Amino acid sequence: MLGQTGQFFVLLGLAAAAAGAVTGFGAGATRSATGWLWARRFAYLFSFSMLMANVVMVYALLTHDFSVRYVAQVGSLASPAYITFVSLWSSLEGSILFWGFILGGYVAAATWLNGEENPSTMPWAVGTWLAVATFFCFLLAGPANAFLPAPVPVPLDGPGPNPLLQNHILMVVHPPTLYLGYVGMTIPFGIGVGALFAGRLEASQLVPLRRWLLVSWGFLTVGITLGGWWAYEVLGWGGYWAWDPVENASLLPWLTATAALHAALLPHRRGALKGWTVTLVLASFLLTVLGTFMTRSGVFNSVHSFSQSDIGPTILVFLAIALVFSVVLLALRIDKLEGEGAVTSPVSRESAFLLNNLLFVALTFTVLVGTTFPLLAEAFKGVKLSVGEPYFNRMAVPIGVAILFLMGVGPALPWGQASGERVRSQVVPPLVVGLVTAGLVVAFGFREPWSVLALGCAGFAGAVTLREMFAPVTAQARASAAAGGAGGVGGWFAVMPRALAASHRRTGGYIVHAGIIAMIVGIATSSAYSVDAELRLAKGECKPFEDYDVCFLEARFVKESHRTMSIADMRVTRGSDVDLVSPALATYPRMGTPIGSPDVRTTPGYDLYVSVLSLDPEAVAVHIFQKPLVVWIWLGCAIAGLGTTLSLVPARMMRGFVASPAVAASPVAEVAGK
Amino acid sequence: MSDFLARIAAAVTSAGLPVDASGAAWVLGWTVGVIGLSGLGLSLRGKVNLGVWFGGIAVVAPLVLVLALGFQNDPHQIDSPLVGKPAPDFNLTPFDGGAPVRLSEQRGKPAVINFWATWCVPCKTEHPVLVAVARRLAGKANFFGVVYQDEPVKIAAWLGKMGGGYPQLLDVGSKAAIAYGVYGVPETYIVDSNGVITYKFTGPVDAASLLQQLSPMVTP
Repeated sequence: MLGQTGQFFVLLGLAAAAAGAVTGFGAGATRSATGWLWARRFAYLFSFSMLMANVVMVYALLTHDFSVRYVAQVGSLASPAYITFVSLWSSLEGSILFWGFILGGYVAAATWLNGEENPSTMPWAVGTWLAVATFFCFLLAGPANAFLPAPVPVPLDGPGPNPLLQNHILMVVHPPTLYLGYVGMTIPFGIGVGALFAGRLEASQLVPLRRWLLVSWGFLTVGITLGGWWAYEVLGWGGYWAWDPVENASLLPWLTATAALHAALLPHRRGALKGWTVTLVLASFLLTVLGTFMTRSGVFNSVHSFSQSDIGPTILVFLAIALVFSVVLLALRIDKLEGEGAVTSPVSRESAFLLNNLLFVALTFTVLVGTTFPLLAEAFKGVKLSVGEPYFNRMAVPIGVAILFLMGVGPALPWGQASGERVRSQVVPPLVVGLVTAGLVVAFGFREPWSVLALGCAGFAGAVTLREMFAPVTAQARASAAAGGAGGVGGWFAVMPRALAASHRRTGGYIVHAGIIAMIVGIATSSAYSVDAELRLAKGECKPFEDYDVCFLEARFVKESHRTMSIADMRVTRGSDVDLVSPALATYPRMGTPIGSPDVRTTPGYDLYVSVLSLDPEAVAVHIFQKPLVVWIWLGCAIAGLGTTLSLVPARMMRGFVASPAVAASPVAEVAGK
Repeated sequence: MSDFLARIAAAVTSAGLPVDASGAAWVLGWTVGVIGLSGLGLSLRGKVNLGVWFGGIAVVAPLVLVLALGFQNDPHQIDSPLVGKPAPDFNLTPFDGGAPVRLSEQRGKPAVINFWATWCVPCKTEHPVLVAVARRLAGKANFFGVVYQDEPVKIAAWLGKMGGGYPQLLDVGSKAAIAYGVYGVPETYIVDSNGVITYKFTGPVDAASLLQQLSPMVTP
């Protein structure tokens, strides 16, 4: 019964999306107001159907209705309720259903928020979103149907979801966040396609384009980092990033979207590079489809691969159609978009942005080539090889450091022409900060050249970021002191909240920069200066590791409803600090190989990371790591997420906070608009 | 209705895309040719940005080709270094008692050695295949199940439900599994009549591939 209801909503969604796509494109071409109205109605109907289909599936999962095949595949009476809920996206069919739900949410929100603006381009955008929706509904109705009946006789219990997904609470958060990032790229894609069809890209389109791009960028950033954090907390190899094909697949759209976010400021400010901006937006979406293919086709082997399935070719056909469509549309229409402005000065913020864009695109190609090269080698030479970390690190680290350097240069330079003196006064002081930082880390004992360079650049970029972030505060503090207000440090702090809020998008942008810089510091330090050892300890035995003393106290074996935990209780002593750690191995009935459950002790300076390799009542083998500054990565990501959120707050919500006569007349607006 | 859609989808997935290299290259070659030529045609009328057109083709075509070629390979198939080498010998006792089986004494007939466990889900799907093929080749090939990290009681219950037909050996201490470099269950090794490993299956076997490996070695 639930199966049929779910099927009904999937088919309703398919019909609504297909009808809406046709109506949207028709309304775009004919400028029919009725067509436009109906396209929006179909968009809402599609969103509603996806919501209902997901509600039905969640209900089926929570009530353990094993007559639905998907529930029989991933459900289990023994699983706790939250894990049952997570099962919605734990396997192929459910994850695509959930994908449809998120797409429905985005389409409804974007139609609602932006549907009244730009009547000449929005119908194209809605048509494009619904064309993408049609494809996913087609997958749900056919090759990845989650609502098919279970084979008769209906099983009495199921195996539960993939054990890897049951092991950590982050698995409840990481996939949906990443999906929000991935699926969200559909919205800017539609707006870009609309701009190409209509042959114009103006401020009224650039604002929603940038907002939606920023929404998915934020989710993608957080989702990728959460994935790294999960890998770090669960997989037990002491790392957070392995250049795994599917990790790369999520990085690719992030890189182009980052480039696009910066590029989109140029047409906004200078009327330049409209075609380039749209190209990057289209590429970001296409790379999310590529990522979907990589995860779900079974062509790549990875911790993320869903089981072998036959939807790979279908997604590849969709990817090919989307690629050809985008290339042809760009080639036919890009010349219509070229604006009146141009980048003229070689030393200006816009040329720094251009260089940043080129580096991001170069990095995208580097990662793309490295990820697909094994396929190429196997197809033509028949050898199995994997392009490992050395390739990616060798290629990505220099580009990454150059981007970090530009992160300092760009904001330090003004828009338009910059005089030599201005450049010197803006760039030299932060450059000194960077050099001092590099000197300090060398004095601290860092010797690896790339990490010293990266940290020096981080110091430079960090100094510029903080100065720019607080520039409006300084300007306003001066103005208010001149007007007779409180001067000095007290005055500066008094005006700070309002001054930052008055230009909250700009402030948010610099907060994101600060977060990314913190992440890079964490990555550079933890990858270059981590130490580790494998220890084998008998019960009661102690061995030294760095300046710790590590003892194995006893082994415990705890049977839970859905798994068995083998826990090694250990004591780690450092000077007078005594800490009990309990790394464990989890064994799930469905999976032979046990899954690690390392114990991570985090401090601001470094993490102590203990992971069990093997355990029996009398002895344990552990892999123990000391990794510096790992926590900076997670904190940096949180800061970047907060900055993104601040940038997205609607101006009218900020206005109440800012509204004050002193602010209105201050030079803040001028500085913010600089 | 949904049945109809599922059928269309199946047609698209099975017939829509030629997954062998020459087929993919053929389709792609034609597509690129047609798109390229139409670009040139449109450019005569001044309507198209040729740089984007051909730049796009130059990026897109190889990418799609490489991805399409990926379907030929199974990334989970890890070639065993043991293929072509003598099969490591073992001397294991059946789980239900009985005389131990020494592999080196079984030469003269090809052998199928299947590593499995009762807790392994794919093992359930492949077991009927192994039983059927073993019955079909009875007397012409030896079949051995080696049960990995398991208990006799569970094995007896599992085989009672799933059916048996050939010796199921208990791998105490996983010694055989280690000697064969078993990465996960199920794994199946084909050994020829001289005791040399000729093939390794990772994951569940299917009847066609199993017979394809065995038929050249089996005396008719």
